[in-house]
Amino acid sequence: MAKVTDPSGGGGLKDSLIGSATFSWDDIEKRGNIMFRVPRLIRYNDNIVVREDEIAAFYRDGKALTYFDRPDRYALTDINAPIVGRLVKALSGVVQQAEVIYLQKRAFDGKFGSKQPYQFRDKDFGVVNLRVFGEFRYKVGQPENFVNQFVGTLNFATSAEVEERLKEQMVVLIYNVVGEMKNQGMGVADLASSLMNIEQGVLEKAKDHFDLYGITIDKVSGLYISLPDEVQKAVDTRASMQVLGTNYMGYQTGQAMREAAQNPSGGAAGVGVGLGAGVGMGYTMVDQMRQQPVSGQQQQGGAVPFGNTVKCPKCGAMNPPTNKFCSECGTKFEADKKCPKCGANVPGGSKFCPECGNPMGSKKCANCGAEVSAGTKFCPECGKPIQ
Amino acid sequence: MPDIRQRVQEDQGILKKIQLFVPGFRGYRQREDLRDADRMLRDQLAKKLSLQRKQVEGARRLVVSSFNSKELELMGGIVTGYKKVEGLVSHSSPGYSGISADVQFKQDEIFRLYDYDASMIDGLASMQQSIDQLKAALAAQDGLRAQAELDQLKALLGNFEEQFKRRINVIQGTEV
Repeated sequence: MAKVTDPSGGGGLKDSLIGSATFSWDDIEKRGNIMFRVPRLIRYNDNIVVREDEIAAFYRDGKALTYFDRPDRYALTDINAPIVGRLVKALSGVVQQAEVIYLQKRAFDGKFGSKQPYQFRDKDFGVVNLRVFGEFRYKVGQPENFVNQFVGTLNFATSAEVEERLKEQMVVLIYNVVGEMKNQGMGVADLASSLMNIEQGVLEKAKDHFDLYGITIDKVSGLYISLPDEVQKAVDTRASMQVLGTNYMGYQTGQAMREAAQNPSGGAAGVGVGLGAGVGMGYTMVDQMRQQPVSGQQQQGGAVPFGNTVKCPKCGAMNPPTNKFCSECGTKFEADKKCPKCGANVPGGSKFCPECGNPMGSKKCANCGAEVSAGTKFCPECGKPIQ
Repeated sequence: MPDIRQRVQEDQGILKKIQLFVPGFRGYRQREDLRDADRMLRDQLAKKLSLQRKQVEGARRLVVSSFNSKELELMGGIVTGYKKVEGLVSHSSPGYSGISADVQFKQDEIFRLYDYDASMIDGLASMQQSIDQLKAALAAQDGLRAQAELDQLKALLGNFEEQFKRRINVIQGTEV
């Protein structure tokens, strides 16, 4: 609890002959308190000292008479005077209610964190639970509204109480801004690079929320949006793959081999276990992340897009789609064809249709030299029978 | 709006009339009455602001069906702005100076303060026009025009607030 001291009296409250005193708010008592009510009714010619970092509100009979926001010493008037006050009290029994409330002008730092996660619907990762943490700086912007609509209504005196009230709204504002940015196409992987934008958005929206209470939000800093571990790992993996220019299989294989090399006691069995685990996880992650868009850089450059692989029809090895030959057995990859007889999809390189047995491949017309599908009886160019 | 100063003078009770004869107490009593008159005037201004705010709140039902409309958010900001200005007008200083203050605020200044506050009624009239046009735009489902009207209303409210904040400085002559 803060106390009132007389600056000229060595720290103790010292009344004059007529009962007035000089009030100030001790620096040592200010820490943690955003406001302080002078604990006795103001008497005639009571003086208050207002420092640079303070605002004082003077109330008389319940009405805010003035706000002292400039540093000075102010002598206050009321009818609680030595003769007049006692006369009025004797005649009518009335003692004038005159009070002073000090407020701090300086900014306070508060922290906020979400109690409940925000469910962010991401187009790559599905529904992701986000949590936000950060700091904000606030101060009294309008003493009229702060005293009457915030402190007066809710009876708050400490900055901790005020902060408690503000921080939940800060979280709501951040969720609001993140939601708007999501609607504009932002994904969870972009959150880290958008933190400054989110901070600015929150500062702008804070005006509409906190001006009513006479509070100004000066700054939002240290904003951190945490992703669930598995999503964070996937984002990190994707970033690593982009840097290394490889696909998920190559990345996981490399990881497994590195782990095996670091664990020589495991020997060849260790390599197998590592590879197996990598491949297993690979299928899970591939399914999870298959829908992700391929960046422009990947499309243009040599990096293999993550998620799309081609299975060799001969040995079954998985290959990047840019390969023209199997990296395991050297089989040439050919595009799938349609059977000209039954219309079934025939894997590239097949000599006969697996559905109807029609021979696949191509022949040349002996008459005009045009290339025609195997199994065709007449040349579509010259109409001569194919031998 | 009637001149409230006259009404406050007429409403003086017996105790107040006695106080007017107490030596050294007359000036105190007169200034107090003037401040009361100014406060009553400001209460009227705040009440009119409150009525306008309720009109904006009422207009929200015209767009509340479209979940993602930008107008709703803008209107929320304006409603909060109205509440803030209402608080400022209701609780602002009525011109006080204590004993031997460096800058005195005497009876003449309180009269001028009253006149200054009374002049703010004009600002309310232009804001009312803007609200009427806003409601017409919302009723016509003209989103762009509604957003323009909301911007206009926000600017008018901001002007009102700025003008009101300057009142003491203007009366004291520290700002022209």
